[in-house]
Amino acid sequence: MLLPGFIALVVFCYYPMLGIVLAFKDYIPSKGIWGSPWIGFEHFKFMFSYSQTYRAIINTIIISLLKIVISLPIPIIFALLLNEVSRKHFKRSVQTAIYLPYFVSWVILGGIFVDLLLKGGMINHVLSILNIPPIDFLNDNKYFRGVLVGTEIWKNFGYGTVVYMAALAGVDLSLYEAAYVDGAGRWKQMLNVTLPSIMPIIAMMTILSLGNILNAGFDQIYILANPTVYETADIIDTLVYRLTVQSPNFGLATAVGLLKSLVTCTFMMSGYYILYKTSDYRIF
Amino acid sequence: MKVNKKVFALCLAMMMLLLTITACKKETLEEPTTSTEKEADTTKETTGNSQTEEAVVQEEVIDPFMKYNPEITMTVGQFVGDDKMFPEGETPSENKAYSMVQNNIGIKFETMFTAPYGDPFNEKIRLQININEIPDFCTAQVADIEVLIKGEMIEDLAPYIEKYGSQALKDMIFYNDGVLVDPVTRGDAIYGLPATSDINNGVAVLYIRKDWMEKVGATEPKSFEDVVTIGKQFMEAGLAKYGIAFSNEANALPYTAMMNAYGAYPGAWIKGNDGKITNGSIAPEMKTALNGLRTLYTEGFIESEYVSKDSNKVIEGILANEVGIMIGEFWSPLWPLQSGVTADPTIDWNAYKIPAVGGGEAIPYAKIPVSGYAFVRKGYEHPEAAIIYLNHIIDDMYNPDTTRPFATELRASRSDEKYSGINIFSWLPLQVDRPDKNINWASNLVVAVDKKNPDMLLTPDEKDLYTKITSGLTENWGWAKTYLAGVPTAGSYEKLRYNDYTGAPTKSMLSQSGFTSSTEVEFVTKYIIGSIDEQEFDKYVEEWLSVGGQQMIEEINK
Repeated sequence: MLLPGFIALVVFCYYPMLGIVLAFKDYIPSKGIWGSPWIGFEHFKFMFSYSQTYRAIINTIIISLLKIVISLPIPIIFALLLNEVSRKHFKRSVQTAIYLPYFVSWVILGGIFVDLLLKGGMINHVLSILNIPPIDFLNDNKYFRGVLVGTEIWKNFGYGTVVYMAALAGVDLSLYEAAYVDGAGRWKQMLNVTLPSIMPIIAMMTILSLGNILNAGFDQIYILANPTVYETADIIDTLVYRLTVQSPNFGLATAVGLLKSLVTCTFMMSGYYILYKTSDYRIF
Repeated sequence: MKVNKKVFALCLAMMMLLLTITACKKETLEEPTTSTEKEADTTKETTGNSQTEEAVVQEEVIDPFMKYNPEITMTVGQFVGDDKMFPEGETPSENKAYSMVQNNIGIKFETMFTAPYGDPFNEKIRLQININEIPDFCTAQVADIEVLIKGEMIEDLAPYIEKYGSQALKDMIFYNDGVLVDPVTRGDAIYGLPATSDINNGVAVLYIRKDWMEKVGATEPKSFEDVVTIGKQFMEAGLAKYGIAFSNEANALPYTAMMNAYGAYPGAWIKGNDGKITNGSIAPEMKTALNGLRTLYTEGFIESEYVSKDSNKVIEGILANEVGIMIGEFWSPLWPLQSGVTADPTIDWNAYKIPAVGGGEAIPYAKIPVSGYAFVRKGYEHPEAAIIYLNHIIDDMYNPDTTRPFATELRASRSDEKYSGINIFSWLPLQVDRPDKNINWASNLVVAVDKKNPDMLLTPDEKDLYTKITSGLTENWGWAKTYLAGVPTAGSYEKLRYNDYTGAPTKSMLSQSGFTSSTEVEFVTKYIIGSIDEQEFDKYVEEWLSVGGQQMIEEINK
């Protein structure tokens, strides 16, 4: 019974992967992927001869690490807090409210944030009432990464919270009863029962987020950034987009894609290994 | 037993797959055959012209306006404008325009794909090129045509233009010594038919709020400095928040036009005094011009937050009365300015030529008025059909008195209630417009409106415009401004600056232009807002050359 599924997998997933040879070829459409001439590491060489490339790689890693590290504890804390709320309606409405932005596209949110964060925008208006000099959030290299991380977390922490809430709902109630009998208070219960119970989910979410180490959020940055903050915000994806949108350069784009996949793969594997060693957690 | 089950399941899956495939095939096959039969019947009824039939049989007498009999089919890639609605029962692949071509020229279009006009269409055809499955006849951008030529995927059309082209067609294609087809010409071979548009497309026109000018007592600007002064007067009078509408988009009009006013031509290939072609983006004038823009930015003439605003946001600003000066094109009164006037009829705009810094008029940069090129797939049985088709299509534009069947039906369709307000021309695969159409209309209309005499106008389109212009209605303000001010202004520049390099994009231009432009955009933005030093210009030129610019210059000058 597995065979049709397996064939489909090979045809639609593994066979197209052979297309990565494009990274080493000078692609000429009429000759096709296989007929195009080999050029070796030319695309990689060229990519690394361009000064903006290094900047983009460094920015990508910094921004995504910031996002991963800061966005990891927030949904956990929020889920734990919400879990302690006893009023069902309040809990539900908060959950829905924080989950909503997750579904809104960056194209729309970007427009809203630009209006909010402009020098003459709403936030600076509030600041001026408080006698604080205006901050140019969108054009100042000092603040821009903060804007990226902040808005990203605001948009996505609802999703993480819902996942952890689901994990919390699955914790065996008898454990709490046992802890209560042993004299553990709310705080001790959380530390010794709740957290260890949801540890596997935390580990899984962490590994999954490590897979995004080189995806610092193309759509967000593409929409919010402008050339003045490329210094701190231009990531690999936005750079490649700028380079290839004007002239279709399939070879170069494939080369960058391949590079990204390799680095991501390494990160995921090491993340998995570390978790396996430290908390004896395994998925596979 | 277990194995049998597996085999059985596999067979079942295969059969289902096959069934869906055949079902799909049937559907696609059946539809065209039935419609062809129907159309064929109507063809028989409507035509009885034996002369044209003979022309097909006897090769010696070539009629540029012949009709194929029996009719031929041609697969096309069709763009669809999102604003162009089809009447009930008509679709992008089956409509009045298509049946007009089929009935009068004997060419049956079969759409291989349809995609929205603009970037989505360009991406679609690029994709088709990359999988080596192109339609018989389709429009593409110059860079894609270059790929097609290299891959030997398309026909050389020069012999067919020579043999089958009507005089009007040859006039159009070889307009101005063939500047329109230069990019797709290789030696004697011509690989594409130009999708011509208005000659003034992309030519900058300066618009200033007339009502505000009266308020502050400003007069027509004689130099670019005067424009800046007017902008500052608007700001000082509390009318405007900033001087000029300016977006962050790379090489958008306000930016290029202002650079032109300073004598710089970013992005253009320019022949120097030594006869060598170099790029305007790294020319010394660029620095002078950027210094000018830098000062304007510090003075607040260019909005301090322009880097965060794309053109849509900029237009919002214009419509919200935040600014009284904008640089647009001849059609800007129709969009976006009309919306502002509709909301507040006291608003009015004046149109001027862009003045140069230090006085006189600027020489604005202009692109050749071609939006793409139509190619014919190599190996298509009737490559000349593209020429025959185009002969018919432009017949009416160049010969107002023509009585040939296609033009006649086209004219009839214009007064048809069903197609009122729709340009059914835009449903066809290759859209052409007579480059001097608007200029001619505008000069006739200016005289007619002045003399209050609509009878001197020849074409129904002009008469229609005359009624609109003289109606005095607020919603027709845009039409009046466009034809009485926009078009004449754009058309009256003494000189326009075209690219000095009109050939095909070279190898490094195709692969490196992303790198040079990325370097340029970042530098220009930072320079204007003053976040980098003036000395950085030399560093930028060096980088621009090293990331592929040098190679491009060498290839072009070869």
